[in-house]
Amino acid sequence: MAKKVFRNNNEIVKKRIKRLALFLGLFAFSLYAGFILSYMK
Amino acid sequence: MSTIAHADHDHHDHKPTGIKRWLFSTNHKDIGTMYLVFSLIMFFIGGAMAMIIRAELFQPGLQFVDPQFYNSMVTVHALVMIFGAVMPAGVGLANWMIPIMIGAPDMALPRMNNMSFWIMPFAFALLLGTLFMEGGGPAGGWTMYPPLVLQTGKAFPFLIFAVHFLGISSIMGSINIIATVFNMRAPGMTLMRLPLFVWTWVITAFLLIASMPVLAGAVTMLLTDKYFGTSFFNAAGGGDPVLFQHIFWFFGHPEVYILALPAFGIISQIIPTFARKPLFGYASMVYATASIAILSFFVWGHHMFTVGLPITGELFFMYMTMLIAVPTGVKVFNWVATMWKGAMTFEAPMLFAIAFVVLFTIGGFSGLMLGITPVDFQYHNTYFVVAHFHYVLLTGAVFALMASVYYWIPKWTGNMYDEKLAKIHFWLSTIFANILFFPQHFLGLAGMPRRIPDYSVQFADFNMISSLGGFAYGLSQLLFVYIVIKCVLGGKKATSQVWEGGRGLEWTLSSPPPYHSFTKPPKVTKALMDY
Repeated sequence: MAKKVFRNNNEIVKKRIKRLALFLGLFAFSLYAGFILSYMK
Repeated sequence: MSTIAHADHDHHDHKPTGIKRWLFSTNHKDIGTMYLVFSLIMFFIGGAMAMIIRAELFQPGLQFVDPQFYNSMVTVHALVMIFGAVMPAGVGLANWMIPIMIGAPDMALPRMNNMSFWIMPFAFALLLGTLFMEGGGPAGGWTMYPPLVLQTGKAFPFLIFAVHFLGISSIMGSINIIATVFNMRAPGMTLMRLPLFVWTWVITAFLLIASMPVLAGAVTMLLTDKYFGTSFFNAAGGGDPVLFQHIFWFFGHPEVYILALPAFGIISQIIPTFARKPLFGYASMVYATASIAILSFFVWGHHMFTVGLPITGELFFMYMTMLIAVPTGVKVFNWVATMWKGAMTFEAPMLFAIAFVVLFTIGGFSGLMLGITPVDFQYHNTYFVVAHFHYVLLTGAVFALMASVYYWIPKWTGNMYDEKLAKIHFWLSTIFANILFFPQHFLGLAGMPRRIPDYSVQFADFNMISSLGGFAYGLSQLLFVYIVIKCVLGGKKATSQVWEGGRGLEWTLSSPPPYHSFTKPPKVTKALMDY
C-alpha cells in the first residue's frame, strides 16, 4: 500500500492528494461562511 | 546509506539560481529556509517592539512614547510574534523536516507551498505599514475586542485583511502537511512509526484548519460591522459584543496549542537523541497530543471568566481546563522518563530542551492557577497573565525553536555550529528570560494591570528588574544570529548522522541533504527508527 502511493508523479496519488486538499479547503471555507451565516438574523 | 542516497540524487541536483530560486521555489527545503529566515526577521521586529514596551515600563511615569503608540506596540508585538515569528518558524521546520523524516521527495502540493509562504510578507507589509499611517497602527490589543477595536482609524481594514491573508496562508500550509503525511510516506513508515515531530504537526494542521476559518469569520464580521452597517457585535443594533469574545477564543485557545504542539514534537525528537534512549511511551505521546488538541476546543471560556458567564458555564470551562493538564502531564512525565537512566550529554539542543521542560511546566502551572474560576477574578488582566503566557510561549515555544535550530542546523548547512557560543547563548537566554518574566508574576499578584504605559510607584522595583532582564535577553539573541551566520558560512563539517543518538530517516541523508531528497523510496524498518 505504502509502496504504491509513494511517488508524487503517480496519477492515483496525485488524484488522491488533490481530492484531500479540495475536501480540506472546502471544509475550511464552509466553516468560515457557516460561522458568519449562523449569526445573521 | 547516506552516501548511496547522495549518489542517487546527484544527477537530479539541478537547482535554479539567483532570485528565481527563491521567488518561484517549489522545493520544500528552500521554502522551509525562507519561512525560517522570515520568522527570524519578524522575531527581531517583534523583539524591538518589546524593547520599546520594556523601556517605557523601566520606571513609573511616561518616558519615551505616548500611550496610543504604546498600545500599538503591545498590539503589534503580539501579532508579529504569534503570526510572524512562532507560527512561520514552525511551518518552516515542518517544510524542511517532514518530507525527509517520512521519506518523501517533497511536499505533496509544492506550488501551493510557494504561495503559502509568499502571502505572508504581503500580509505583514499590510500590518506593519499601519504604524506609519495617520492615526497609527491598531492599538486595541491582539484580541481585537469590539467595540474598542472599532475605534481604530485607517489601520482597521489593513489589520483585518492582514489577518485574513495570514489565515489563508496557514490553511494552505496545513492542507499541504496533511496531504503529504497521508499520501507520501515511504514504505514501512507506518503511522505509529512516524517521528513525534511529524505527528504533532499533523495534529496541529488539523487544529489550524478547524480554528483559522473561525477567526477569519470573526474579523469579517468586525469589518462588516464597521463599514457595512451590520450589528453582529453592536448591542444598539441587537448584536452582542461578548459574542466576539466567544468566537475569538474559540479560535484563540486552539491557537495556543498551534504554537505549543510543534514545540512538543521538537522536544520529543531531541530528548531521546541526547538521552540515547527511545522516547518513553511513544503511543501515549501521540494520544496525549491528540487529546490536548481535542480538549483545546472546549476551554475557550477560561479567557472570559470575568465577563459574566453563567455559573455552570464557568464550572464547565474550569473543569475542562483542569482536564487538559492530564495529557500535558503525560507528556512532561514521558520526557522525564526518557531522560531517566539515559546516557545523557548536554549539547545546546539538549540544554534548551531541558530548560523547555522545566520552564514550560512553570507556565503550565500558572495556567492552571488562572484556570480556577474564583482565583482568576483576582489575576484577570494583570501582569500574572503576561508572565504566564510568556513562560509558555517564550521559554516554551521559542526555546523549543532555538533547540530545533541547533539540533538540525548541521543537517541543513552541512556545518557544525559553534558549541561553546551556543552554550553561552543558552545560559544568557535562560537567565535573562527568567529575570524578565519571573518578577511579572509578583507584579500581577500585587495587582498591576497589563496593557498600561504607566503604573503606581509600588510596582517600580520589579518593573526595573524585568526591563533589565528584557534588554539583556534581547541583546543575547544577537549572539544567536551570529552563531547561525557563522554556521551557514562554514565550520567543522557535519557527518550525515550528526548526532550519535539520532534515529530516523533524516540522519540517513547527507548533510546538507541533496536538493531533491528521496527520489527513490527508502526502506523504513523498526531498527532504523529505534535504539
